[in-house]
This record gives sequence, structure tokens and C-alpha cells, in this order.
Amino acid sequence: MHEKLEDWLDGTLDPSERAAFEAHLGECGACREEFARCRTLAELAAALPRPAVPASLGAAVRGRLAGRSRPRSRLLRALAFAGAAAAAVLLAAVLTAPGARRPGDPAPAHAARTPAEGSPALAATALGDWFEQFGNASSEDVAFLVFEALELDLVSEARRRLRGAFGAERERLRLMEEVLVQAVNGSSAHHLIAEAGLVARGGPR
Amino acid sequence: MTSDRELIESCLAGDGESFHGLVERYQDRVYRVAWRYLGSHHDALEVAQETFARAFGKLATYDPDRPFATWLLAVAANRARDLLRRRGRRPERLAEDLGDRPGPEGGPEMAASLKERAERLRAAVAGLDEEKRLAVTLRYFEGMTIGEIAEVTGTDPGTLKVRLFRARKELFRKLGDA
Repeated sequence: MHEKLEDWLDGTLDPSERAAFEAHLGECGACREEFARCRTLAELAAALPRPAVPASLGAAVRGRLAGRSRPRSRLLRALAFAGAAAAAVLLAAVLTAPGARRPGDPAPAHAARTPAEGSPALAATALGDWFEQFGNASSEDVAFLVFEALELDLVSEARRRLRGAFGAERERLRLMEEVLVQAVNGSSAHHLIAEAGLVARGGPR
Repeated sequence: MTSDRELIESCLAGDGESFHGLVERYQDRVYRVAWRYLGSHHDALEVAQETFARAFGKLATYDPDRPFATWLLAVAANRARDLLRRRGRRPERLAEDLGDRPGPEGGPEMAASLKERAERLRAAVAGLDEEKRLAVTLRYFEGMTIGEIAEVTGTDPGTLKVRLFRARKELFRKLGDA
């Protein structure tokens, strides 16, 4: 019942659940004790001094953002033009490019989850795994994050993550970077998807 | 007061200065959570800066129908986790100057007792594992709901409730009045 206790404290139980829980609380010593613990923790936490936020923080953030462009409007226009599904198709095409893995290279852990035919949803899911800290990102979000990571200040981080995901698949990594960097440089999404299709078929770019 | 949404829309439309309105509004909270989680002024400051820099870059991916504070704290939690992983260490002891704050009411004796127990709680929280420490920080120090914490930490609410239950058990054992 401790789960209900948290909901009760948050006021998220519906009226009938709340009445039932309150009746239970009147009879259950363990739940009353748990409630008392919650209250004590909140009181003790409130009694502790709050850390003094350094006055320099705002200026430090300002300094760090100085000179940075605002959030990627050019890319966003491209993504908005193509839509989330098209972005996922682009990613799927790149992810599943045949011939991208070199003979003898071991299959990466993610390969099993990315079928050869490359369902866009699964490809986006695989990408989402790499950027797991972003939680349940939509395919558009994932595409954006890949783009973002490939921008100058995050290239090394992107490579580190992609290496972790792809293992020895350096060729595929290179293809991804090429196509995605080109996107950042301003090609239209439709054009990119067509190009990605060529890459997927092993044709010229 | 200008709403979060207005500031964000303004920033996305090209007014970078609007973002600093968000920084001013949330810097206390971001720093405080990072400090409780990491236990170090220096690390909290670094994570707070990284959080806002990251949030600026990702602003276009933010869903305006969800609370900005929750999204921002999720970024902060990830930055703080990354920092700990990079360094492969537990948080430092919370032994820094904490600044001034009015003491609790109820007379000097009660205040002293409460303060002493609160200090023990602080040490006990610092000894929790990372996930419990973050959940406790957000729940009891920041007063967030289970739903909000679930969003910030990317954790299922049921798992979170169990985590908090176990954390309370551990904390009260350490406080000596379990």
C-alpha cells in the first residue's frame, strides 16, 4: 500500500480511491508509520540550509552561450519540411545501408535490433538507445539529436557514442556522418533522403 | 511575468536574450538539485552551466505542452549522472558552506535537536546510491510529485515508489530511529 501512500500524498487518487486509502490508513499501523516517515523526511529536509547559488552562475552561462547560434533553425526547417516520418526514413536508410559493414567485422550489439529491411520505427528506436539519456524521444527528436551531436562542438562526443554503438562498423559510421553533416549544411530533406537511398544501395553520392 | 512558453518561443524566434530569462528563473533550482546530488559546489556549478548550455542547444526539441522545469531538471539529472560516471566516484561529503537560512521555529532546544537530526539526514542522503539519492532529493528537498520525478529521471512511477520506500527504510536505519 506504500504505493498508494505516495499517490495520496500527491493528491492523485480519485475520490473513491482516496476514501478507501484513508480508511486503510486508519487501520494499518505500517502505513501510518510510513506516512510518519515521509512527513519526518520532509520536515528534516526543510530544516537544512539551502545551498547559496553562486552569483557568478548567470554570468558563467552567459559566457558559455556567447557566440553560439540560436537553436538550429535551418535544420528544423528541413525537418519540419520532411516531417518526423521522413526523418526516420532517412535514418533507417543510412542505418541499414548494405555493404556498410566490412567483411569479418563482428556484428554490433544493435544489429540484432535493426532488421536488414530497416523499419523506420526500429531504426529510430536503435538511435534512441544510443541517446538513452533523452528518454522516449520521438523520431524527429532523435534525428535532431544526431544532427546536434554532429555539430562542431560535439563531434567527438558523437563519434564516441557511435563507436560504442557500431563497434567496428567504421564505414557505416562514416556514411552516417557524411549524410547528416550534409543535412546540417542545408540540403533539403527530400534531397537527402534520395541521397541516403543511393548510399543504401551502394551507389554514387 | 513573462511565461516560460513565451520566453522559449521568443528564443526560438531569434531573441537569444530570452533564454537568459529562463536561466535567471531556474538557476537556483538546477544548482540546488545538482548540489544535493553531487555534494560539491564546484561540480554543481559545472553541471548547472552544462545544463543550460545543453538546454539552449536542445530547446527546439522541447515539447511546450510539458512543464519546462521538469524538462530542464531531466537535462540536469543527465548531466550530473554523466559527471559522476566520468569520474567514477560517489559524491563528496556535503561539507561546504551552505549559506544562510532562517532556522526552524520552536525555541533553541527544539531547533538544535531538529538541526542535529537534519544534519544526520544530510549525511545519510549522501550515502545513498545515485538513483535513490536523486529520487530523495527531488521528492523531499524539492517537493516534486511522483509524476514529475518520473519524468525527470525517466523512471517508471511504480519503480520510483519502490525506490523511495527503500530509500526511506535505509535513511531511517541510518538515522537510528527505524
